[in-house]
Amino acid sequence: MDPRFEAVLKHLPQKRYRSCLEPYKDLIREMRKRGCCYREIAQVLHREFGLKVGMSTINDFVLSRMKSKARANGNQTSFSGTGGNRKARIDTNGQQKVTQEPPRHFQTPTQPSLSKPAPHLPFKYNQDEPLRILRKKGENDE
Amino acid sequence: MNSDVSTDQSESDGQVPVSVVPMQQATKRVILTMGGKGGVGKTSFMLALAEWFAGNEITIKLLDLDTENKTRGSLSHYFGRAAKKVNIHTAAGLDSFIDYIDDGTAIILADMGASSGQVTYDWFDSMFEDVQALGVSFTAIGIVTPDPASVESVLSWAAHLQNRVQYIVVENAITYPADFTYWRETEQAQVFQKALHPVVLSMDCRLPELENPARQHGITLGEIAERRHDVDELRRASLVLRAQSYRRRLFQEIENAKHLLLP
Repeated sequence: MDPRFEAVLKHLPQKRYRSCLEPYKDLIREMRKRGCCYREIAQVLHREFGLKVGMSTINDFVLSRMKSKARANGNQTSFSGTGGNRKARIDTNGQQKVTQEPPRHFQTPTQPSLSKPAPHLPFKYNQDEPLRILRKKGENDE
Repeated sequence: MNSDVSTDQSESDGQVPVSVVPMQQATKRVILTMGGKGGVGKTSFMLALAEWFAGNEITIKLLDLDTENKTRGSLSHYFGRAAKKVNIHTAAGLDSFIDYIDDGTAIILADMGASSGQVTYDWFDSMFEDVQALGVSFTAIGIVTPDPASVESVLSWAAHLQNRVQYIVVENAITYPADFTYWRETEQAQVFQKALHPVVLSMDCRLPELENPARQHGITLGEIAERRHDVDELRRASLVLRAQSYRRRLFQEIENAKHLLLP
């Protein structure tokens, strides 16, 4: 790199992006644990602290914290001290056979789902199907 | 799993429609037509609705999003500059709702054009939560006729919008007698009615000798009923009386859906 650039960069303090929600992370975490939805969190932040923030911002913040937490967990592989997974099978002669599967010493920690849960759809409609007229009771009955 | 956050169960698996919660706090409302099928009477109903609001001295903002329909038949043809023409086929999509709401308008009446479905669905998917947080609620108006395509169009919109909006469905009797079998007696339409509880209104079949010149000259039912126009063919006493009668019945119907029209 150009030494002039390096000189400039040397004097620049290292800045990290910091979310405006960072000071409230403990509150948000606790509210989430207590089952509060994003809307309620946004309302509390606005009412109590004068912080006007959208639900999607809180959602992004929560998800990004989830990601970083999951990343931290994912770096450490956990040791499951079981002696492997034994599966009992009955062979054709009626004798029980115990097969030894290779032990799964290293279990990859379950990653939290980062995508939003599938929304509850109260109405489903398949556009490719024709409209079906319901038969009235007694109509065309044999 | 040791996670400090839980998934948002309260918003995803509740049986209570999402839109019910903010309704209590909603201070603004966007009323939009479900603009799938053309020529079913969306604009006719919106005209009546605009006149109902005017009659009740409620200020609204009219948005004409039917850019395909450039001349006769669009909201601006009837209301001139009072109806703002907005092109929704841009990156900003329906963001004009937000701008007008921010200006202090409490009720927006948006007449969507045919083929505005995908733009609207995309906008709802990306913006709904944030707009709802501003205290805005939505009412979608679907118009059904005896034509099954009109029913399919309403169902298709509802399948995308789900419970993010409240529904008014208008049975528009474009013929006499009108047969609404595909709306009233099909399995899919009944599932929609049970799941999303639309308020169903009816709109009378209108005489062509009243409807056609009214469209041609951009004259509303109210203007005919009160003779506030210069078109001789619409000044006949019988047509004036007809217009008064259509308007009275339509306003009675609209009163039944008042809770879905005010913030």
